[in-house]
Amino acid sequence: MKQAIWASVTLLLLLCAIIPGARAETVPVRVMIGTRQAIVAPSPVFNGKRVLAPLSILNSLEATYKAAQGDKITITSASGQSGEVETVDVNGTKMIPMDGVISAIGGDCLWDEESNTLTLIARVQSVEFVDEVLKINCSFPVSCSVRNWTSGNKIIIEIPSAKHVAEAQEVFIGSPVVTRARLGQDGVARIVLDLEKNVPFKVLSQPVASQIQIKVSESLPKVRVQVEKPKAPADQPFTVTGVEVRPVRDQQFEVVVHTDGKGNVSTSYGVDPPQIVIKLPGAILADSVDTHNGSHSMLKDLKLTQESHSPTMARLVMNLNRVMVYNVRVEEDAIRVMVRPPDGAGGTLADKFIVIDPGHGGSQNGACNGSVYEKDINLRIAQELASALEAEGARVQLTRNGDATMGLAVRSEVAINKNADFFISIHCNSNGTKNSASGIETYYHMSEPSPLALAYAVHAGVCSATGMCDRKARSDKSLYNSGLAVLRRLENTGVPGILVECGYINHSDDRSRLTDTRYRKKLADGIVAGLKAYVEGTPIK
Amino acid sequence: MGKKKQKTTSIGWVVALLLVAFSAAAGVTYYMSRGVGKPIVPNQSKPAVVKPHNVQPTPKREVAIYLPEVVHGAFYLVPSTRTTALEGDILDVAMKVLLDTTGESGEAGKLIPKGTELLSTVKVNKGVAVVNLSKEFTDNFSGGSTQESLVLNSIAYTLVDNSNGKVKKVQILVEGNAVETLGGHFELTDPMEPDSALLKPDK
Repeated sequence: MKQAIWASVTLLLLLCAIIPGARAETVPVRVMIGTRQAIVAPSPVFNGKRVLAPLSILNSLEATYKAAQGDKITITSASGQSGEVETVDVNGTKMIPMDGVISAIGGDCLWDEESNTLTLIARVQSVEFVDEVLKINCSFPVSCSVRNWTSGNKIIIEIPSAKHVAEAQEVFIGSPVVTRARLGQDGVARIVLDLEKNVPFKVLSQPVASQIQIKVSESLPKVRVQVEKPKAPADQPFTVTGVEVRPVRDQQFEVVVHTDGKGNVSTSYGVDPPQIVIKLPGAILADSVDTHNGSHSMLKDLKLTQESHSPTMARLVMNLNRVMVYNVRVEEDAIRVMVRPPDGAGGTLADKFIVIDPGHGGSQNGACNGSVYEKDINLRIAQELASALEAEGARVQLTRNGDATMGLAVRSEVAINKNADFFISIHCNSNGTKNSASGIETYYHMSEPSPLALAYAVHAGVCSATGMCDRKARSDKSLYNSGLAVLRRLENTGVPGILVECGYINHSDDRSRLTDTRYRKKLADGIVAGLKAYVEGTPIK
Repeated sequence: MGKKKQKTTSIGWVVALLLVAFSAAAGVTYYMSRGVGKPIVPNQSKPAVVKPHNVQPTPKREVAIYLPEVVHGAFYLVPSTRTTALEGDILDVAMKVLLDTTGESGEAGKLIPKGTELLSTVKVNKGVAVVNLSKEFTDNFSGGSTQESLVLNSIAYTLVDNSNGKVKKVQILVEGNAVETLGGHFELTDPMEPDSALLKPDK
C-alpha cells in the first residue's frame, strides 16, 4: 500500500513538473486598431488559442453591447452591423475574443507571432454622396488622408488600415460636381472621386472616425490647387573669399571657389565658344576676393562677377581653349570644378576610328513620306559622312552599307567590339502632323559628360553648316525613360556616342533638303567640324 | 489480519490509478488548449453589402487618355478626359478609348498606328501592366523618334493615370510576344516607365 501511494505521488509530481500548470496560461498581447494601439486595462491576453480583450475595447471600436443568453453578449458596430460573442472569464475579468468581435462588426485580423500583436483591419462598408457630403462608412474608426490630384479634377482618399468589400468597384454618383467614386485596393483602401471640375473640399469628420465625411462643394472657399513640387531650399547666403586655379595634369585643372559656408551651384555649358558657366545663387563676393590666383594652358580666362544683389547671385565664367568636360563638387568651405578634355579627345581626327550607324534598314523603313524612306536617306547621309571622314584620314565603318535589317543591340556592339573612338547614329525625324516641326536635334545618353560634349560640338557644327532650325542638343531621357537603345548600350564602354536627327521627313522643306545631295554634304561637313572641335580643339566656325 | 491488509492495498492502488488518470487528463487538456500557437482569426467573413443609397447603374464613365500637343514646335502629352459607355475593367476601357482616337482631327488622331487593337485584357502584376496589342501597332508605325516617344509614353501615362496607383510600369506585347522595338529607337524588351519630361508643364 505504501509503495502504491508513493508511486502515485511521485508520478503526479513528475507530471506537474512537465506540465507548467494545470490550466492554460495567458500572455499579454498588443491589439492595434489599424495604426493605433488599443489602450485598455487590463491588457488583452493570448490564451494559446485566441486573443481576448476586456469589454472596454468596444469603446475604441465605437461599438456597443448588451447582454444576451448565458455568457453571450450582442455587439453592434457604429454602422449597425451586429453579432453575438461569448464572454470568457480571465483572472476574474470578463473578456471577449477579438476574432468573434471582428466577425460580428466586420473586418479582418492580422496576427504577428513575433511581436504578439493582433492588428484589426477595418472594412469599408459603404460609400455614399448625400447633400454634397461624401460619407465613407467603416466597420470601426479609421484615420485617412485626403488630397487633390494635381493633373486632373480628382480627390483621392486613402485609408491605410482598411479593406474594401471588393478589390475594385465603381460607384456612380452623378451629382453636378462629382461624377463617380472609384474604389481600389493597393495596400490601402483608396477612394478616388472624379469631379466635373476643380471643386474645393473640406473634411468634416474627426481625424479618427468610423464615418469619414468630406464636403465637396462649390460653396466652400476656393483653395488654389498647387502642384506638389519639392520646395527648393532657400539659397543660403555665403561669401566667396577667393578663386584659385590648380593645375592637375597637362590638360586638366581644378578651379576652387573658396567660401565661408556651403554654397549653391548651377551650371551651363557651351562649345562655340567653349565655355563653362558656374552660377552661385546666394553668393556675395568679398571685397578682397582674388580671381587671379593661378592659371592653366587650357583656360583662356576666368571672370567672377556679382551678377545681382536681389536676389544675391554671383557668376563664374570660364572661357576655355577647347571643348572640355567638367564635374562640380560642393564642400563645406569650397566649390571645386574639375575640368578635363572629354573621352577620346586629343591627337587628330586622322587617328580616330568612327562607327557610323545609318538608322533602320531592310524591313524597317523608319519614318516615311510617300516613296521617301528614312532608311534610304540615313544610308546616303552615312555614306557621305564616311567619305568626308576618310578625306580627313579617319578610319570608318558603317553598321550597314546596304538595305539590311539590323537589331538595335548589334549596332552598338560593332563600335564596342571594334574599339571604336566614336559612334554616330544617323536618323531623320517625323511626327504626326505634316509641316508642324522642322530642324535638327542631337541626342546624348542621360547626362554622361563626354557624349554630352560630343553632342554639343556636333550639333553646333551641323547647325552652323546647314543653317537648319536648331532644335538643341538634348538628353535622350527627354524622350524615353531609359533613353535611346543604341546609346544606352554604350553606357560605361568608354565609347562616346550620339544620335543625330538630321531633319523632319514629314516637313516639306526638310524633306526636300534631306533628298538633296548638297544638303547631305553640308550635314557631313558639319558633323566633321564638330568632331574636329571635340578631338583637335579647333573652333567650330 | 491478512484480509485487512489486502483491502488496504486495493484502496491504495485505486487512489493511485485515479491520480494518474486525473494528471493525464489535465495534461492532455492543457496541451489541447494551447492549439498551434496562433489565435483564431475570423474567416473572411461574408462581404458586407455596399449600400450606395443614391447609386444607380453606371450609364457612362470617364477615362483620362494622354494625347500629343505641339506648342511652339515642342511636343508634349496632355491628359484628355473622355466619356464612354464601354464596360469592363477601367484599364481595358482606357486603352480602347485611346486606340479609338485614330482618325480624329489634329495631332491626336495620328498618334496610334492605324488598325491597332487590344487583343486581351490588360493584366497588372506587381505594378507592371501588360498590354497585348495587334500586329498593326508595329506594322503601321512610320514615325521618327519623336513620334515613337509620344506613342509609348501616351500608352504608359494612360494606364498609370487610370489605375488608381496600381500601375507603375507598362510592358507592351505585340500578338502576345515581347518585341525589341516599336519604331527602331527605344527598347520594349523591359517594362517602361512614363517620362515626366513629356508632360506639358503647368503655366
